[in-house]
This record gives sequence, structure tokens and C-alpha cells, in this order.
Amino acid sequence: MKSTRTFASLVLAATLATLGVRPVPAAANATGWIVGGAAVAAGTLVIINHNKKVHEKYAAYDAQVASEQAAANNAQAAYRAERQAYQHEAWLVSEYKHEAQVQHRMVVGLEQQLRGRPAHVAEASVRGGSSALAPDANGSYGWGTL
Amino acid sequence: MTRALARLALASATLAMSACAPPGGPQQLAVATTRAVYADDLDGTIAHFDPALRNQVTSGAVGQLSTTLRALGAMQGFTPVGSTPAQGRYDYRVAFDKGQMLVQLRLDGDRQIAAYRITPLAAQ
Repeated sequence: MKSTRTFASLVLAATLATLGVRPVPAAANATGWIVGGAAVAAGTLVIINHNKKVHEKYAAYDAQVASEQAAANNAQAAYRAERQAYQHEAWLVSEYKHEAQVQHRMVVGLEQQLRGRPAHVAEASVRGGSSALAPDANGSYGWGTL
Repeated sequence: MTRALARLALASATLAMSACAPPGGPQQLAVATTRAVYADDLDGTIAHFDPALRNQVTSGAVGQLSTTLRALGAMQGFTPVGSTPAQGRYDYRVAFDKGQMLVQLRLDGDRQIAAYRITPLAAQ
């Protein structure tokens, strides 16, 4: 491929040099057309080569764009992962809130139960709740004096 | 005829008076409290105690008395064995499957229990 390109360039250069050194005689008109056709072909090759270069650049650009898109896709994937992680954390926070609400309701319920009971009950249940009951002089058990 | 009517009226009056009697009679207080002690029910035990007596009660002491009573088996019934209403004193013998106890109450002016004592009785 490269040799073909080089050959075409040489042909084009030789043609141009020939045209520049001496004018083409009328008898050689057919030959001139042939040389001219070769020049046109060489120019076409140059154009094609240029286009190829352009396409190569575009391909590189596209590859770069593809790479950037891939990077962008990765970033988006990372974003999605981050978002999912956030949603999980938000879910955890909501669960913590729910747990706190349940515990709060339990505390309020227990407080209401304590308020509903006579103060001495809660007090006695906590204070000295396990104190032993000793018999009095008559061997009786209980509370108060008869 | 007149005598029969008078007896009927007396019986009706007695029945009406007993029906109108306050539910918290001394024996009922003794039964309710003793059953609560037997069941290791702190709230039930002190339900009819006056405020001063309530402050002396602990859950551990109720549990201790409950254990003592349960050791005698099932509770059978209460029998009044003496009373001094002027002093608010009422005594009952409580029969169990395997023994008996003497339950003694002292009620204050508000008909609340100011003293509650249980004494083991010798087996008969």
C-alpha cells in the first residue's frame, strides 16, 4: 500500500517535471492525454490519501470520543453506584428513624404505665424491691402494726 | 298473717341492706389482698392499702409471702375468727390444702387496710 502511494507520487512528480521542462507537441497529444490521465490519477490518489488521513483522524477522534464515552459511561455507572449507595443509606436512615420512633413509643408507653400506677408502686418496685420480709415478735409476716 | 308479713318485711330489709353494703367489706378486703399475695401480685396486694402502708411494700416481700403461702397448697376459704370493729380489727383463718394461716387486718377510718399480717397456724 505504501509502495503504491510512493509510486503514484513519483509518477505525479515526473509528470509535473516533464510538463514544466518542455511543451507537449501536437503529435504527442495522445501521449499527453495519457500522462495527464496519470496525473489526474495521481492527484486522485493524493486526494484519496488525504481523505484517508482525514478518516484516520476522524477514526482517532471517534476512538477518543468512544473512549471518552466509555469513561463517561463508567462515570455514569459510578454515579449510579453512588446513587444506589445513597439510596441504601437513605433507606438505612429511614429505618433508623423508624426504629427510633418505635423505641420512643415504647418509652412513652412505659412512662404512661408508670404514671398510671401509684407512685409508691413504682417507687417500691425500684427501691428495695427485693428486700426480705422478716417476721415480727408474734411470728407474723406482713406490713403495718395491728 | 300480720306476723308473717312482718317477717317478710324484715327479711326483705335485711336482704336489701346486705345488697347495699359496700363491696369492700373487711372479709372481702382480706380475701382480695390474700389472693393477690398468693398470686405474687404487687398491685393487687396494695390495692386496698392506705398510702402509709403502701410505702412499706416491696415486690420482693410480696414474692416471699407468696412463696410461703403456695407452700401450703391451694387456698380453700376464709373463716372469721374474731373482730373488733371499733378498732378496725378483723381476723380470719385461711385454710389451705396442707395447712392454715391467720390473716389479720386493721382498717383505718377510710376503710383502707392500715395493717396486714399473716401468721402461720399450727396444723390441727
